[in-house]
Amino acid sequence: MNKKISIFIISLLMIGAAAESLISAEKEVTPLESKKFSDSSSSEIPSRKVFRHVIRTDISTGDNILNLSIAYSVLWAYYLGFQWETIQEHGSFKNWYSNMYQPHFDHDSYNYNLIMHSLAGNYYYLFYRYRGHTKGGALLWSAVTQILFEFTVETITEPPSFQDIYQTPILGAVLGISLEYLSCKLLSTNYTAAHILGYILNPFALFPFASYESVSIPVVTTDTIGYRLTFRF
Amino acid sequence: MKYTLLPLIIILLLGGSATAVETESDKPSDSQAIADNNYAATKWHPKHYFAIGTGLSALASITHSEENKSIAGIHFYTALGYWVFDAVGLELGAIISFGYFHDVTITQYIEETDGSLTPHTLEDFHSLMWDSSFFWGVMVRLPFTRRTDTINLYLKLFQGYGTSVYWLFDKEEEDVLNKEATRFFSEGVLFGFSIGNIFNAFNEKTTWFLQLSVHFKMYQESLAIKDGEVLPETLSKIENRNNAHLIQISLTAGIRLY
Repeated sequence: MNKKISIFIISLLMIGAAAESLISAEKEVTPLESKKFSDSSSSEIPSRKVFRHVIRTDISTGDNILNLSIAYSVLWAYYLGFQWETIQEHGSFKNWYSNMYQPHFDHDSYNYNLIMHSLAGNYYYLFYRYRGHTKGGALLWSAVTQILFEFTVETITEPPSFQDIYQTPILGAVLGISLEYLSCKLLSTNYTAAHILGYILNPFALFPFASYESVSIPVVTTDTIGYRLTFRF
Repeated sequence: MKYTLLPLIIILLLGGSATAVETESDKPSDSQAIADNNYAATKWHPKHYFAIGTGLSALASITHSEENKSIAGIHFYTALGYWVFDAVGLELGAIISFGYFHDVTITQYIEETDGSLTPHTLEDFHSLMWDSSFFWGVMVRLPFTRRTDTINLYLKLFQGYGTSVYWLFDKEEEDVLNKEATRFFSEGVLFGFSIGNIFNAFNEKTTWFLQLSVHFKMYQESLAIKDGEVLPETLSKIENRNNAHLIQISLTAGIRLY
């Protein structure tokens, strides 16, 4: 188990380093990254890079079904892959359908109920954020995912747990909000090490079509003179 | 059941009276004051909210013959809420707390051959406790108070179900308790109330709250648990025969996450 965790951490570090090189390459071709904001007299206004989440307003029912299907498939793959010994010892097809109707308060220790489930919930949350959901939407879909896991996957070995149903999405969201915030702060810097750490904290920022963007924002100070033209209809 | 519903009815009436306060002040000259005092229009309650907090708890584990108080421990508070009717918030939440008991006394009842129960007392245990209290609650802002940036009082009644896990230390071999047990698990219904205040509900600063909660947990049964290789094993189950319950007082400081 420790070997698997080590391999997982090393993989994340490698992905972080690879992503860093990709982002560095992108910097040369992204206009907003390299552009300095200029006024008419050609004096440059300094800008700062901001890495931030972008909320998708066009999430359709089909998108939601697709997102849930991806999360659900990953959970099945994880459970069959990492819990195979448990399934062999305690699992059965009879358990799978009879345990669904016997939710209870489980007797697990805090390392499972508080730590492992919070980490799992964190990844649910970050996944749905990556897919463009708001904070509330990501929490809602995390809860749906966890309910599906408790009632249709984990029942192979044990009945659904009320603690897990509540704590996984809620504590996961608290952790996810914190890590996403920290990750965005780190990815807004110009330091390679900070970028690697940022991607470790939120690996979903690396994935293609992620709902994150890196933009440059002009730093406007009180001694800056500008013009604004607005229309109102 | 009627005792459970009674607090709910009272709190709903309080909520209604809180709305009435706003209606009474509905004068043209007070239009700005109405806007400022419209609690539902503040940052705190735009329909749904997610609040988190942390603080200190004092716990007392009580039976009909013993009372064990804990050293103040830390707790974490989470609540998901939905604000309705401009006056009442419905909440689903949890308080997860930790406490340390010293000199714990435990009374067990051993069944004799004739069916009678003999109390057996175990003394001088040290125990670390992890408590999880899950609840649903009804929150109302307190009526008859003028709400400002610093005063937004609220009252909350809640009930639910919770578990307490006790790790016992200094357990001797000759103890009656199952030697293989690594922890003892008690569960039961809970009910309680909170009174709190929301700060910065109207301005642009971070909204935060202070909350004092008191809740009672009535244990229904206790289990001796052994850590299995994969899943925990239940070694024995003991019904609550000595009115064992837990009283917890918590002071929480927190923020509205969104």
